[in-house]
Amino acid sequence: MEIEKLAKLARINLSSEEKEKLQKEFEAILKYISALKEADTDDGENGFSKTETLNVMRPDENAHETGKFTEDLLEGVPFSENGYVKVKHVFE
Amino acid sequence: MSLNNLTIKKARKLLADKEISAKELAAYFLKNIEEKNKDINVYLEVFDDALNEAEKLDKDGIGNRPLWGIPLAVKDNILMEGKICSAGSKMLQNYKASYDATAIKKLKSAGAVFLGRTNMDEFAMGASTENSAYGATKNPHDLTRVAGGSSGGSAAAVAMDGCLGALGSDTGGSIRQPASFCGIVGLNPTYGAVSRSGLIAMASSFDQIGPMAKTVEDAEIIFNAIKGKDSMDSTSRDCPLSSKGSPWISGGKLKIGLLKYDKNGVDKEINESVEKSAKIFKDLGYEISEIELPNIKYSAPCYYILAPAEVSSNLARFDGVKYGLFKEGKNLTEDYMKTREAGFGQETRRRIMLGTYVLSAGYYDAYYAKAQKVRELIKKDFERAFDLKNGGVNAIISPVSPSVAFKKGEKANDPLKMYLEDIFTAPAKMAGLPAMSIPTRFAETPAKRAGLNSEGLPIGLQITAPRFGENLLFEIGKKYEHDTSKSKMA
Repeated sequence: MEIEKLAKLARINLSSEEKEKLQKEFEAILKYISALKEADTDDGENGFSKTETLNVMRPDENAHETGKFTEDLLEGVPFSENGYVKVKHVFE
Repeated sequence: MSLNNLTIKKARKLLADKEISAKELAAYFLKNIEEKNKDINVYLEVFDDALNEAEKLDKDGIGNRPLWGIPLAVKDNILMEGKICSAGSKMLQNYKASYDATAIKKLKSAGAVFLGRTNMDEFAMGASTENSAYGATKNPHDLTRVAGGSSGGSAAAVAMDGCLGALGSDTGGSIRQPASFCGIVGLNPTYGAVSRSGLIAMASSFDQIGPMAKTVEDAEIIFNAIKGKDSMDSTSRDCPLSSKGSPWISGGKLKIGLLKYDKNGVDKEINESVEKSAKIFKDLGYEISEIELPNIKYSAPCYYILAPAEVSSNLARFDGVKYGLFKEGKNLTEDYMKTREAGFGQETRRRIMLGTYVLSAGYYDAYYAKAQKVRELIKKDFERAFDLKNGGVNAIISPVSPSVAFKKGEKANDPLKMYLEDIFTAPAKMAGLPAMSIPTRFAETPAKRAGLNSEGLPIGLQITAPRFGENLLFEIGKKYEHDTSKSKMA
């Protein structure tokens, strides 16, 4: 398995030791979860329960007043400016 | 007045009779915490406003608030406005919650006093609390052993008399397994019975907040205070009232199924405890039969596909931009990668990677899509098992975990071994069912009467009911508890 590629997709830096360790652990875990292959699921089930999973809608109204939570939320933001979250360039 | 062995129910009476004030009660537990927390590592933070809050309640008077003055502990992944909520992670070490979880709001209006936040496996992933960034919680029955996880701190807090009850969260077994390891009661509610608003998300189709307490009755009191539909969680629902023919109806001659399972790899004493418990239920007048669920053997492997998949998307939010830790790199992508390397612990990284894998193009059908289908098979197994018209049962009993509390370090370096802790707890989660762990007690010896095995460690029993069958669990659990406490004196 391409641990390197996965780490990139998951946006996690990994040391080379950890990559090696994960490679071994994943082999064991994947072997374990592959037990599902034996399960007989060929009766046309699409995998999602029809009775319990349904969309819950509400009217798009009663918005809170603008800025009500801004200060509280920005308190946890590493970088902000003029009431905005500050981010580095996405495209260079 | 001795406050040892107090329950919520007993404390309620003392408070109502004005034999004790809310402040005195809180002070008693704070003193216990101060004495024991160093050794057991239960509380990550003891709230310095707990005594003040209790004092305020004393001034208000008890009214009809069901948890008035009752000191509770809260797992570190449930938000309390203005308090740090770290989910046992370095990522959120300094994160202050900006609002109350719905369960907390409800407990506040019920009059509860919050003593502090309890240790847990990082982001609720683990079965021992060894994955906490703040050190493992030890088992109050044996400090060389783990308290279980991921709600190990909440379980140990109740077991060491560091609170009268606690909130935990259960995704694959995180309330029931530590409850079993620590000798207390832990309820994983029906999916949707308790709002998840304000619970830091791990795997959203499984996560549930639930009560941990010394007795079934206490767990029921907390559950009744936190349950119900909430507009902030569209999957939450009010428990439907039981009506004639509904599977969760209580009373009468109930049928209990004894789960057929592979006894190899399960402690001998645990196998015996399930059989002996079945005998107790039989003597109590329940009809006992063996029950087979052919597909539940797939539950744990299924769980370890679906949960990591949900984890990998839920934890994408920790990027060093909106909240939590930030580590600087050369550009935005590097910021993400460095922040997530520094903020997440090993198991969290492992699960995110695993989830990314099972969701990635080329593997999605073989793992994620297949697991969704298997989840449906497991649900059907339970539906059949609870179908009373066709020889089904009202509830199912089984072990909670294959072993009693294990030694610290015993499984920490083998992720797969740790995952196997979930083999008995994952099935109920697949179908969103309520399941409760209660301490087993038997009459033969003083240790067994106290609910301990030959090594002095607690063994739990799991009872599983149909969706919204919490009432059934409470009824059955209380009868068992009452009967086994009688035999205590025999």
